[in-house]
Amino acid sequence: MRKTVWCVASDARLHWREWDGEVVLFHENSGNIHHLNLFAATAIRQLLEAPADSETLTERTASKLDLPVDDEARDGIEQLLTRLKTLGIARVAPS
Amino acid sequence: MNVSDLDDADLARRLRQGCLFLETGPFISRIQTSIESVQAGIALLYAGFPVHDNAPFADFHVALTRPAGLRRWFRPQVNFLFDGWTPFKPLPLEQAFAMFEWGMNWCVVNHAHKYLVLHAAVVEKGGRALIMPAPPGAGKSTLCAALVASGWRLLSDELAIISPDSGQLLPLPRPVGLKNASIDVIRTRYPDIAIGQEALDTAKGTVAHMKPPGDSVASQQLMAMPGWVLFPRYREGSALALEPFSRAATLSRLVGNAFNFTVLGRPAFECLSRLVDDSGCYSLEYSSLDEALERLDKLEVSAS
Repeated sequence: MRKTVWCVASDARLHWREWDGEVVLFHENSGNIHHLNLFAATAIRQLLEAPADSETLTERTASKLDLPVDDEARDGIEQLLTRLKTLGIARVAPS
Repeated sequence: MNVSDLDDADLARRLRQGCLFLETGPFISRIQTSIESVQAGIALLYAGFPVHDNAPFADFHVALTRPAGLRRWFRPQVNFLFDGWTPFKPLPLEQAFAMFEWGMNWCVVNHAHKYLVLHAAVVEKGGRALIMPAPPGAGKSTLCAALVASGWRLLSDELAIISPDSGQLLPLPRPVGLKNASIDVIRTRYPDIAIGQEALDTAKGTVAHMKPPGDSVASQQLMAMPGWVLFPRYREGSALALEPFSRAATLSRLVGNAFNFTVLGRPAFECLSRLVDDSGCYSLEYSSLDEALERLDKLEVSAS
């Protein structure tokens, strides 16, 4: 079965500010801001670099942060992708 | 010419005829009312503010009137009018001056989109602004009143007005709103400071307004650069605790306290991000005003 590939919505206008490992993301389209931890912020930046399925995104994010690829990381990515889809920031990449 | 330069009869005439053009910070308001308590409140609490003769432009056209009808006689009320329409339900006549103050805040919050407007008290010392966003009941106005009575300059007890271009804070040093126990706290600590008539049983409890210091009013065109963002919280019996506050959380809270963040969009985000960059960010829990004032004065010295 083909894995679901995710990407950042092409029309998403995102602006970032980072202090001490905490990130505030401004989604200009909705006018909302989101206070992110470093894991979530890194995952979104990875997704901006290239679309990925959740397992690949977990690996890339964990590698960037020198974290193990474990169930906690996988769950974190799954929850993040679901949330980003709801917010209109990420979507399933066209096949 | 200031309000205090007008005798009572002239002030009452101008208000009655709707030709009092009052300058508060960056705004000119044209005010009309025949209600004596509002006239008295303006005479006392706005004494140092400039008035203009036949100003060619007013940002806000407001009036306070008594609704007609039988109620006028057995339970008198007051209406606040903005450009001739009533954005609020009427309130008891005894709350007329409080309604004037709330209405004036409403005018700024809903119409001054040239600026980024936050729900926060702002005071200044040494050219740097201390910005205090806080929810109702956190002790923000009490702390603000005590700070300005202790030498800090009042920019506003309620609305931080920020130029999105320069990031500077514009003063709007209108009377400081005090509620319930804080009225007596300030009256007892600073007996020389004028406090207007109390309005009882308002939606916020008992409300009274403190006259802003003359120096703050006289320098109401002097902007200030951001210096500190402080989230105060009064908690009875607590020890003083001033703690650094995460900058990312500070930005989130500032956005949450902004009235027109979504109206301004990205310039507001950039403006508040710069403000956080340029400010010391703290939370403050206190129960003793003396301790809080002393600590914040040290903050002023150590940060400048």
